[in-house]
Amino acid sequence: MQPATSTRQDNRRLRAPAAVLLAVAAAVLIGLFDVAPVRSQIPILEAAPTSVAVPTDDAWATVWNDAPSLRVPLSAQDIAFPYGGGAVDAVTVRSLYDEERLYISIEWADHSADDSVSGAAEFSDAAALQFSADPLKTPPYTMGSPGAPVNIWQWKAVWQADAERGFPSTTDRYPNTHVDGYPGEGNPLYNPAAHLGNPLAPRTHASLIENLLAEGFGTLTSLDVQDVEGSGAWRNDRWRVVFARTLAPGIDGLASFETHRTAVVAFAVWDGASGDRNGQKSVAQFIELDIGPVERVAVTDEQAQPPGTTERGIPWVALGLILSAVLPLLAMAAIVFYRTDASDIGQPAQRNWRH
Amino acid sequence: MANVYNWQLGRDMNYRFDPAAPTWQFAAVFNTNRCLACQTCTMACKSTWTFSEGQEDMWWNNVETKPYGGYPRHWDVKTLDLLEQANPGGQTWSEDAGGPEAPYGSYEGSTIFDAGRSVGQHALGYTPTDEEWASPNIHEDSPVSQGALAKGVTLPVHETWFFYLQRLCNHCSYPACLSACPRNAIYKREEDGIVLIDQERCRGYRKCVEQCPYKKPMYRADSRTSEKCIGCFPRVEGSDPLTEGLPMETRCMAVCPGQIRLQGLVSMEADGSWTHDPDNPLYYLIREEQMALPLYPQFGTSPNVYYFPPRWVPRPYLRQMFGPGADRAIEAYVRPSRRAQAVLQLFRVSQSIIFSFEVIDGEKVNEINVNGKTMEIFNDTVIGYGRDGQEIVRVTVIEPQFERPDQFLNTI
Repeated sequence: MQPATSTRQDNRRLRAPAAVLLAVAAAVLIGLFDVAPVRSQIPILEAAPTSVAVPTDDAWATVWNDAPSLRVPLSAQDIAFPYGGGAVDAVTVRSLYDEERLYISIEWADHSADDSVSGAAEFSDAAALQFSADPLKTPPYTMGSPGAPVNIWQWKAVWQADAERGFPSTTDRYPNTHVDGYPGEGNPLYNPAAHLGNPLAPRTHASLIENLLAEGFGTLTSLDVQDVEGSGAWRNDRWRVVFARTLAPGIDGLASFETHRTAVVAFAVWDGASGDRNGQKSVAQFIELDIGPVERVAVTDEQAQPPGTTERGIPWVALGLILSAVLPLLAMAAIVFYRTDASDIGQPAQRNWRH
Repeated sequence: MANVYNWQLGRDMNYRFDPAAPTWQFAAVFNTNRCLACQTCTMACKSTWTFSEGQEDMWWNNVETKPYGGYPRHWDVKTLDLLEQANPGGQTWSEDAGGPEAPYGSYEGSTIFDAGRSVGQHALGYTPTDEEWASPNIHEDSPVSQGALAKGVTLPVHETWFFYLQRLCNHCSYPACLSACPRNAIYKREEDGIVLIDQERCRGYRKCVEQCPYKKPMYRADSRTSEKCIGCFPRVEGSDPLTEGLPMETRCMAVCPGQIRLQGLVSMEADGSWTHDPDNPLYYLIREEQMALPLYPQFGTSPNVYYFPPRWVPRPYLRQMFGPGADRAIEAYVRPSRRAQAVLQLFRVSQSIIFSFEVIDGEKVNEINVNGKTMEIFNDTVIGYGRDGQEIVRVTVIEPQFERPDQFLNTI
C-alpha cells in the first residue's frame, strides 16, 4: 500500500459530499419522472431480420454493413480471482436472424492479433457470448450459478489459426529444433489430455466456436453438442467475430431463441498480449437481445430480467421523497467513514455502464 | 480465504481452501552435500514421463547449480523479489523457536498468499518465458568469486562456492498451483498427498505455472495444457510388480548413484500436523534432528522435499533459502548423533519405501574431532521396515570391506 498523499486525502473528503449530492438528485429525479432505475440504462441489441445468406466463414461480409450496431462498454473482471482484463474497453455488436438461425457479430480494436499459444507465456485473443441456458431464468452474469446455468460460445484466435495454418508442431514453433524421434510417438497415452478427451488438446476442431456450459466460477465445461458455427478475422487493427446457431436447437442446457421475444446476452473479450485468459478478461453484463421487433411491455417483466433490475409499479415519487430525507443522514455517516477509507466508491454493477 | 496453520512458518496463514490433510504425505530428504550433479535423476524422470512431443523443454526433475543456475532461469530470485516489492524489508523471522510445531521460529513476513491479495490473485507469481525454460542446466558449476584459485578454501564457509540443488515438485501441503487454478483442475490426493493436474479439466490457463513459486507445473504446447511431476504415483501406490504391492520410491529417487535421496510417506493427523513417528526415517531427520529443511519456507506453501543444506555455503544465503533452521541443520549434519549416523545409512539402499527403522547397537569403532568437539562413531546396525512391517533392508554404519584373494586379483 502506498501512503496516501495529502491531495488524495482531500479528494476523498470531497468525494463523499459529492456522492451524496448526486444520490439526492437522482432520488428526486426518480421521484419526479417515475422511471425505473437500472432497467432504463440497459441497452438493447436488436437482431434484424435478413433474407440474405449470412456467411459464417467471413466475419467482414457485406451483409453486416446495414445491421444495427450497438457499442457495449467493457470493464476489467474484478468479481472473482483471478482479477484481470481491462485492455479492451468496448465492443461493437450486431445481430441478424433468419428463419433458422441467429447471428451475432462482435468487433473490437486490438493492435495485435494474438493467435498463438505455443510459447510458455503466449495467450490467445478470444471472445465469448453468454446466454441463459434456461429460458425461464436470468442467471448472474458472473458465469451463472448453481441451478441457473449459462450457455457460453467462445471463439479463440488460436483455433482460427489452427484452421488456417495448421496445428503447430515442435519444428513449426522452433524451426532449428532437431529431435531424433519420440519414443511411443502416436501412442495416445503419452498425450494424456488428448487421451482423456480434453477439448483443448485435439489438433483439429469440429467448429471454431466452442460451446460451453457453466454454473458459477470454476465450472466451465465443454458440451457434447458443438453446434455453434462461426469465425473471426483481424483487419485494420480490429477483430470481428461472427457466431451463428440454430434459433431453437431443442436441447436442454442450450440457449434457445424465439423471434419477437427477448433474450439476454453478455460479452467477454480476452487480449492475449495482455496475458488475458480465464477470469482475466474484459466483460460486460447481460444486455437484452430482441430477436426482431418486440412488444417490450408485454415481455420484459415475465421474461428477461437482469440482476439488479427493479420491478415497475413501486410508487417512485414516494420513494424518492423518502430517500431525499434519509440520504443526508447517511451522508454524515459516510463522511466519517471516508476519512479513514475511501478506496472503492463504485459498485462493479454501475462501473460497467460508465462511458 | 481460510486460515490454516503452517508449521514451517510457526504461524497461521491465509490460504484459499480449508485444511484437508491427506492420511499420508509424500516427502523426501535430499543431501545437497553429496550430490555430484550427474543428472541421473533428471534423465530417469525424462525417460519415464516427458519424452513426447511438446515436452522437449519439460524437466519435472532437474539439478541446478546455485546460486546462478535455475530452471526456469531466476525462478527463485524473481519470486523473492516480488515478495520484497510487495512487502519491502518485511521478510524476517522471529528468533525464538516455538516448540515442535514451530521449530524454525515464527515467520513475520509475507507469504505469496498474503501478497497475492494485493494483486487480485490467490498468490503472487509470474509466468516464465520460453527463454527462461530453455537452458535447464545453465551456469553449471559456476562459482561465486574466483578467490579459491589463488588462496584455496577453508571450512566452515568457502569464499568460492557453488552447490547443486535438486528440484522436483514439492507436493506441498498448501500448494499454490492448486489454489491458483480457477477451474479446480488440480487436486491433492488423500492417500499420499501427491498433487496432480487433471488433464481432462485443464484448459491451459497457466495460473499454476504463474503461481507455483517453485515453477514445477509446466505448459505443454502440444496438448495446450499444463503438466507437472506426478510423484511417480503408480510406484508410490505399489502398482509396480517389482515390490509386490508395497510402496516404491519414485524414479528420480531410486536411481540416485550418489545416494543423496531418501523418499517415503509420513503419517498425517486430521488437523494437518505430522503424526509423532520418530521411527519413520523422514520424520526423524526432519522433525527430530531438524537436519533437513524445507526449500524457501517463507513462500508459505509448506513444501515436502527437505534438504540437508550444503555446509560450505555462506550462512546468510542458506538462511534465505532454507530458513533460520540452517545453522542448526548444518550442526546436526556435520556431527550427527549416534542414531542419526545409523539413519543416514538408509539413503538409497532399497527401492521400497522405508516406513520405520530400528537401530541395533554395535561396537564403538572410532572417535574423531569435529569443529573442536568429539564425535564417537559406533558400528550400529539399522534395519528398515516396509509398510507391512517386514524387513526391507539391514545395513551397518561401517560399510563392510572385503579383500579380494590373490587368485582372483585380475578377475571381474
